[in-house]
Order: sequence, then structure tokens, then C-alpha cells
Amino acid sequence: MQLFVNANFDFLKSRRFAYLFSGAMILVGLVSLALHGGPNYSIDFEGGLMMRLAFEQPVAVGELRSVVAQATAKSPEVTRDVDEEGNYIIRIERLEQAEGETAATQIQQVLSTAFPGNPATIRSVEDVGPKVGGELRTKMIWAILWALVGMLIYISWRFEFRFAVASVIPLFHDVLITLGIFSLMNIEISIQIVAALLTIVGYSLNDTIVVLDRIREDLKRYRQENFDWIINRALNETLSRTVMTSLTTFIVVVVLWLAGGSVIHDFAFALMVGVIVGTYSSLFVAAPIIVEWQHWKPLNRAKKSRK
Amino acid sequence: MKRDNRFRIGLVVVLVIASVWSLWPTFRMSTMSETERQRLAIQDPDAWKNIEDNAVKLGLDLRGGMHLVMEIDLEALPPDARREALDRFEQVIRNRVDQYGVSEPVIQQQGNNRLVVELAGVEDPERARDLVGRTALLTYNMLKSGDVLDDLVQRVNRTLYDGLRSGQISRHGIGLDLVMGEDPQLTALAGLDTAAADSTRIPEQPLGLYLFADPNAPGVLYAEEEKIAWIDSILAQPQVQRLIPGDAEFHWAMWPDERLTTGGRRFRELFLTEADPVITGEYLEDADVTIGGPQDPDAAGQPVVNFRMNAEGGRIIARVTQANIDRRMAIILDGRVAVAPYIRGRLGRDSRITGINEMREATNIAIVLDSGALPATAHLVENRTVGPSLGADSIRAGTISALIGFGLVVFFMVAFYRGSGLIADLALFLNMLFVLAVLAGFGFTLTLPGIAGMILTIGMAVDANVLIYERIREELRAGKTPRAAVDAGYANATSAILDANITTLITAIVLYQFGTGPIRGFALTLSVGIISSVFTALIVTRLVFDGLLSRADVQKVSI
Repeated sequence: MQLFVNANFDFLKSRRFAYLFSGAMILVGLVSLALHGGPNYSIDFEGGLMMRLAFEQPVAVGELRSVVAQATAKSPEVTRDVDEEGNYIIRIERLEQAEGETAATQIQQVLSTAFPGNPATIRSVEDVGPKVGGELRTKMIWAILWALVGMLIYISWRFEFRFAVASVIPLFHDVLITLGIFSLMNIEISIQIVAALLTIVGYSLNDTIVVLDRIREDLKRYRQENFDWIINRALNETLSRTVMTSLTTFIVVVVLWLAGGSVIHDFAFALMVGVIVGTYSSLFVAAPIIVEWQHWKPLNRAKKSRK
Repeated sequence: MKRDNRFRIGLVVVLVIASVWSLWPTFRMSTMSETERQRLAIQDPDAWKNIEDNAVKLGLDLRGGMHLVMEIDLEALPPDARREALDRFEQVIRNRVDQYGVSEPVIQQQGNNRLVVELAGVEDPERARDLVGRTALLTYNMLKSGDVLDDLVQRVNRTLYDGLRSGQISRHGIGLDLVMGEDPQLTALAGLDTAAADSTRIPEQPLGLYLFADPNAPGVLYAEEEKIAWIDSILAQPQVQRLIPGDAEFHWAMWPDERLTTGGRRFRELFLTEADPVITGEYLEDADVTIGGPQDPDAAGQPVVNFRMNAEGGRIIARVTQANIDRRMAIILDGRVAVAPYIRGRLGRDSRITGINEMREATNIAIVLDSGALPATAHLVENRTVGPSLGADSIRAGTISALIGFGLVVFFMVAFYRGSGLIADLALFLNMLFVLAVLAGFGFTLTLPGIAGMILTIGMAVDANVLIYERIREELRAGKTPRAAVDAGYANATSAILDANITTLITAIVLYQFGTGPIRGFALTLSVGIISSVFTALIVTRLVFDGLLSRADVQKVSI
């Protein structure tokens, strides 16, 4: 079976539309982020308590919330867990630890009195102090910066500088759009999500580089041709591969999202969004940047006029 | 173009054999039932240890357990005392963790004021509270005399023996069958559990099976490390508890005794002490370690632990030691005996312990003595606990996702690339084999994000082959012969494959550097997956194509 035989789509023609689309997506995301007062950090970064509970019988989310709220004098966030009926996730501010008692024990006691005859098992507890969370945030920012710097250096060395720029701008594009979607859907940014974002960065770059590699090759091969034509040809030549790889990756990520369980549900979702956005950006953002660069660079005017 | 592939073939064969060899313990482990594991652990501890050490290690998020970070407030201490305070804190925690009998606990210092503790299989929130919330209790208790101990052991043995014979105590109930290496299920099935008549199977001295008296040190027993949990369970039996005098208590040593170690088996001492301490740690001011001078009659050139009491402590210790010369006094931290020196004369405010062989041991004792009065308070700054059920769910969900993902990708590759798709699927399979083998072989830990990394690798690993195949198709369309098209396909795709994967590898390495726990597992499987996918695409599948196209008359390639 072959996906595209001698594909010849005019990707560059639609680039104005793509700019508009990307811009709109980013803008919506930014607006949502602004309205929410920044990214919705998980307890990994903010500090706090998160518990996964399994009740024998399902209970009402609202009731569970009010029970915990009343007992702790805090405002907990209670959601149904994705895997099984009767499983819930509680997120709450960190409790002051009364004389050696841990927060989980406190909440468990409260629940056993509030729901007699319906015992709840604690499937997991994550209790993070605010200081630890803050430190982790700094660490993650450094991680992202170092990853970007490392990739920029490598691409500048292997390709030209403009290729490096053309491959890094889409990364910001991808991360911004994914963050925006997460903000819209009110999904928390945890360490796992940051790891997913970095993976998206790596994946999107991987995709972009294959296209850039082909552009580099075609620029040598078709010296006489128009610059835009060469770029578009390279995109079409790699189209089968782009779609095929995105497809296999997307399939496994969807499987992970559907069947991977509660703990990595959001992680898999982030990757799903990332694969789509990353593929889109290599076709409609990265390559057009090189074209725009070529058009705007005065030194290249002479070359351009050759057409 | 004829290529000499002997070296490559050899390399691939060696790697595959090494991988299978590296994964063999994991395979054994995963195919054994819980009972079989326990039985092997007792019958052939070395073989079991070999399997356990070499199988893929599961992270806390998969097998359940606690990851705790404790922080101690050192602000109040002078800067030069902080390091020592953290060491002391670590010793206290180590001692407590040791009493849980957790296998391979991780305890390490982090930064200047933190301690990370990882306990696999423990999920009881009380434990966290117990570990960090309790203040360290240091007491000095006199040892009971050898006669009292011998008498007690005799009576315990007799009670157990009588109980077993009369059927009041069951072999299975006190874990005797298990500790003796029998299969509890089989025993129960055969009805041996209650077969009191089967007196040949009842040892005359049940406790004496694994708890030995030291002829050179009256008043002290010892047992192998692996049997401590069983002996504790026996001592906790109500019938046995009744026999222990109210003024006496059993306490294990804090560390295994180096002098008793034989043939890799480690033993630990068990002391019977007075229940009431003669003095507690709060009177202690300071402890340190020195080396005895050449003229020192007791400890020439040997380490000596010196400790200093305050004035009141000095008076108490003087009175106590005067009355107990030539008896032994155990120094106990949180229920475990750090050291039990003989009292050789009346002591005062300044005392010393000699007869210690190793500097490390002396340092540990000094740390324990100091920990009696921990000057700093500690609190839990991070607690991540995964229950065994969630861990098991995660393993199941992860495995299912991996299998479905693998199956779908395998199918897609064949659907799109037919015969060549099969070759890519072979590469994919080898990929998974290599990733797991590296995890097992280098002792890395598999976490849930690690499984996610493998699944992602399944999707991305075929990328290299897709790149090559699309290229081959182009060359075929351009009218090249199969042989030439394959050569050109590989040649032209190599740079894209390398560049694309090296950049992803950079991300993965950075993630590994900055990530914590589970995330490192993700970065790790992703990195190994990337490297092995490049290897399988450029070397392994190439070999297969070369083999298939080696005949001169090949007209067609299935792609």
C-alpha cells in the first residue's frame, strides 16, 4: 500500500492560512492562560496533596468534596479517576501536619467516619512541600533551556543557522499550543507533563529535521530551480514518511491514552496533542519560515530574481 | 557491490545472545509463582539472589512503595556541626528502617539537610509518621545473665515442642514449614498441618533450629539475617510472650556482626536485657572517636569511642557501674543494640569503649551515642506513596498498551510495506529485546513512564525504517534495479536518520539529567530505544536485505 505516490501538494500556497490558524490557536491558548492566571501547576510544582482513592461503592463527587472540605477546612478538588468506577482523585492544599501525623492518615480517618460501610483504600499519596515544588520548577526550567540550547547547537553545526531557527520556532509554537490546550481543558502541568512537552519538542524536531535534510539535499540537486519550488518539492517527497511515522506514533500514543491507566493518562494525552501539532508544524511552520527568510533577506534578492 | 558482512552478522548475533542471557533471570522471575519464589529463596538462596539481582528492577510506582524526603532544621546549629547532625539523623532513620525488614531500602543524603528514603512494598502511612515523627530514644540497659537467658530459651523450646506435639500450635501457624523450606500449600493439602502424630517432623528445639548460643559470650544469642523476621514472629507468639519475664526484653543488634560472618552468610546478635534502663541518652553530652596511643594497655593503635556525660549523668553512671563490674551494658537506640561493652571498672563523666576492631564501627557507635539527643527537628517535605494495587494496575495497563501498540504497528508496517514491513517488524522486535536487556543488564529501574517510553519507542522506532523504505520506493520509481535501489535508499536516508535521532537523544539525555525518579525511567528507555532503533535500522535490516538480494537474479523487492 502506498500513501502518496508522486504527491504534489502546494504547501507553501496555503502558508498564509496556516499562519492565521497557528496564530489563532496560540492566541486562544494565551488568553486562556491569562484568564487562569498562568499554567495550572500540579502539586509537583506548587506543593500540595494528591490522593488516589478507591471506594468499594461509588460515591457522589460533590459529597466527597464537601466531606473532605469540611474536615480539612480547605477547598479540595475532587475528580473521578479514569480507570474504574469508584476511583477518585483528591487534590488539596498541603495540610499542617499535626504532631507527627501524616496528611493521608488524617483524610483516611475522616472518610471512614463519613462513609461507614463503604471503605476507601488509598491507592497512592503524593504529598509535596512548597519548597520542594519550587525547586523542582527551577530545575525543569533549566532542563527545557538546556535541551533547546543543545539542539540549537547541534542543528547549527549540522545545518545552517537559518535552519536552526526554522526548526526551533516551531518548537515554541508546539509547546505554546499544547500548553494552551491544557489550559483550556484545565489539565494540570505535572513533572510528567513537562517530560511529555520535552518529548514533543524532540519529536517535532525529529520531524522537522527530516524535512530540512531533504531541503538541504534538494537545494544541491536542483540548483537551477526556484527556491520555493524546491522547498515544496522536499515537503512532498517526505510527505509519505511524515504521515506514516506520525501515524504509527499516534497509534501507540492513543493506545496508551486509552489503555495505559490513570497514572499516565494525561501524559499520553499531551503526547497525542504533541504528535498532531508537531507534524503540522514541520509542514506548515518550519518550511515556510525558511521561505520567508529567503524572501526577506536582501542578500538573496539577486538569487531570487533568477527565476 | 558486494559487502563483507561477516563482522556485522557476528555483532548482531553476539548482541542477541547477550540480550537473551541478560533477560533470562527476568524471564525466570516472571514465570515463577509467589510460592515457588519463596521456596527457592529458602532452598537455594544463592540461586534466588542471582535471579533477584539480575532481573529487571521495578520502580516504586510499579511495585508499590514509599518515596520519602525528610528535611532537618539545621539553622540553629553552628555550620560545622551540621554535617554531623545529618549523619546522625541518617543513622537514626537507617536503624528504624532496618527494623521494618524492607528489602533493599534506599537511604541517601540529598543536599545539606535532606534525607531521601525509599521503601519498596511499604505503603502504610503510619510508617512515614513513625520514621520521621518519633524522637530517637537512647537507653543504657544491663544485659541479663547467661543463666537467665539459657533458662528462658529452654522453656521457649519446650513450650513450642509441646504445643506442636499436642497440636495446639500449628507448624504452618508459626511459619515453621516455610522457614524449613517446605511448600506451605503442599503441606496444607497433605493435611500435615494438623498432623500432630507426625512427631518426626517436629524439631525438639524449634527455636534452636535457627537461633544459636555463643559459647564464648554467655547471655548472647545469634541468628542468620534471613531468619530474624521468623524469630521475631516466634517471640511475638502469646505462648512465648508469657514466658519472657516482665523485667526482661529481647533486642537485636543494630548491625550484623562482622566477626560472625562466614561464607557470605551474615549473622546478628540477639541480647536479653533488663527492661528498665539504668540511664538514658539525655545525660550524654558528646561522643567521639580517637585512636589509642602506643602505651594504651587496652587499645594500642585501635579505635576508641569516648563519651562524656553531664554532671548528673556522671554520678548515675558511677553508681551503676560500681555495682555491675564485669557485667555487660547494652547501649540501645530505638530498640536496637549499638554496642554492649563489658564494664571493667567504675566509670565517671568521661568513659570510653575499647575492643573495637574497625574505625567504621567505632564511628557508627559514636554517631549512635550522639543521636540520643537529636538537636534538630525533622519533618517530611515529600511523600509519594503508591499502593500495591495501583502498581499492579499500572503494570497491567502498561503491558496491555505495549502489546496492543506493538501489534498495531507490526500490522501497519506489513500492510504498507509488505515483505519489507516484516523486516522492519523484526527490527522492532529486536529493539524491544535490546531495551529490556539493557535495563536488566545494567541494573536500571523500570518505571511506568519508562514503559511509556518503550511504547513511544515502538511508534518512533519504525521511523528509521520508514525513511529508508520511502527512499527505496523513490529509487525504484526512478527505474533503478532492486539491488541499486536498496543501496541508494540506505545511503540517502542515513543522514536524516542520524540527525533526527541525535536531536531526540539530546532531549532524552537532558531529561535524564534533570528528571527525578520515574521521569528518569522515561528518559532512559527513550534513549536506549533511540540508539537501538538506529542500530537495528542501519545494521540489522540492511543485513536482511543484503541476504535476500545476494542472488544475482532478484527482479523485484517486496516494498
